[in-house]
Amino acid sequence: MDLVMMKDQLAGLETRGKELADEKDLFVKAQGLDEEVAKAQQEVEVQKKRLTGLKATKKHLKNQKREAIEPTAKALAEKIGEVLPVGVAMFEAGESGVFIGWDGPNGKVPYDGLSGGQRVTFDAALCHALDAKLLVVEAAELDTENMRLTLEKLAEFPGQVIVNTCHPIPKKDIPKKFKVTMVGGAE
Amino acid sequence: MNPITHIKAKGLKGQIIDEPLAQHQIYVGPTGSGKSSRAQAIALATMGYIPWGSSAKKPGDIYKAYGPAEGPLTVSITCGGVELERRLSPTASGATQRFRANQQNVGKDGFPAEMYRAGVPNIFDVAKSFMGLSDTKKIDTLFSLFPPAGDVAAIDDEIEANSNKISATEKQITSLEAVIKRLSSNRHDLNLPAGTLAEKATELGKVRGDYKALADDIKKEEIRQAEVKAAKDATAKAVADQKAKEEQETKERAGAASKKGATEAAPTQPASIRTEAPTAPNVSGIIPTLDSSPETTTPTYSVIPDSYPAESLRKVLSAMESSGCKVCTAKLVLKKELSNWSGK
Repeated sequence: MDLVMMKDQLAGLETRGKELADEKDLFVKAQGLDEEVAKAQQEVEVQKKRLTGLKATKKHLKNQKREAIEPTAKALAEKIGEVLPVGVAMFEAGESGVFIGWDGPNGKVPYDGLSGGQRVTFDAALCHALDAKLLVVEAAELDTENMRLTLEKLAEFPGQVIVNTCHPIPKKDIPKKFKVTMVGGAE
Repeated sequence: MNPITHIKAKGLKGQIIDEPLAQHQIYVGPTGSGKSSRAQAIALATMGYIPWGSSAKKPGDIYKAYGPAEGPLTVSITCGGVELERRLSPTASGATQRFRANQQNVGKDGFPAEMYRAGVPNIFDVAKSFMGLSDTKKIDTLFSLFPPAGDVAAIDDEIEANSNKISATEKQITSLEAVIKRLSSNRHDLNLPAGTLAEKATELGKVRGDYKALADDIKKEEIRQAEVKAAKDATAKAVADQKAKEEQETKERAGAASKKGATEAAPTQPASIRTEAPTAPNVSGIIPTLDSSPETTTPTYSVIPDSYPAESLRKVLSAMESSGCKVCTAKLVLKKELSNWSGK
């Protein structure tokens, strides 16, 4: 080989060397990134474990709260049950706030979802639970059967009860304790 | 607690009521007949406002909502043998209240005490007084009536602290995952060539070694060639010196001959020149080949076709270059040949 060829070849080797050095740099960079990713992933695992622990604590605390509130909910339901003709009153105090409702003839219904007639019955029962001694029951929206049941319950009420209705009530449905007064010329 | 035994109302929605009340009382009557007025009379007498219907709470507003066109609005209840009366009288700016217990005037502050003494049952307005409360107050009310089994407020505090920790941790995980995504994308963007770091390092080491060895070879070759050239130059100089010497001698001899008239000196001179002459034309090995071509009548270099084979060789070279061939010997040889062609 003569000198020119050798120098040509040398230039070629130099170029190839530069290329390889660049490629090697890329691999080194990639290795660095891989290490960073691995580190971050490790940290994610640590945090996820922590999260699992915190969630377990949350569950535990919620149970603790439910247990603490249970006597209140139970006593309230019992007291409401003294006036409520059917179903059970519900009281829950969760993350979304206080829930008061009636697990009654239409399933579990929150207070705001009660129909007019249900509301009257439930209000009277709730009044009683909240220690009212005088109940005023606007019973116009109660059907015959619910009126009968409500009156039956209210007859046991130790306080004073006033029931207003625009529908005549069958005599057999009125407990003896009640006095019926016709108002405005009604017979 | 004592039940209310009698209700009186005058000027309440145009009703005049004066009747006994049973402990368990049912009022039946069409809408607007006055059933509600009985309960309203009790509420107004005991609480000072009417929870059902109008939202009026000030005496003036209550008077406007329920009172007569003129004259006072009076309601009373009898409970535990005491008649408790509240009277609202209109004034220019609203209404004034007057309280009586068994026809005796009592002050505004004395009236609740009279009610308490008489054992008046409390009316509880569910919709306004309880369901309208904030959650905290609802719970406080319920807990005061039905105590819980533990410090619920403390548990609530713990729950809140726990929730804050959970959301902070979730946030951290989200941001870490974003970092991982970014780093992974950066790595992808590197567009790594085939192979591994170790392979590249090994190859680079080899190339550098080759380079160093070749550079050394080049240096050696340069030295060798310099030495050859120096030797050649020395030989040429020696020859030139010899020639100059001979010329000098010839001159001297000629000078002497001219003096003597000698003729034999002439033939020796061309012989020494002739010895160098044959080496001069044989510079390139290509020349004889071209010379021997039978079709070339006049084998001058200017008629060597540039388009062939030089053009073809150039094509081969460019193909090699475009395919990435950089250091192969074949290419180097080709390059050299091409440079020989174009040099002529």
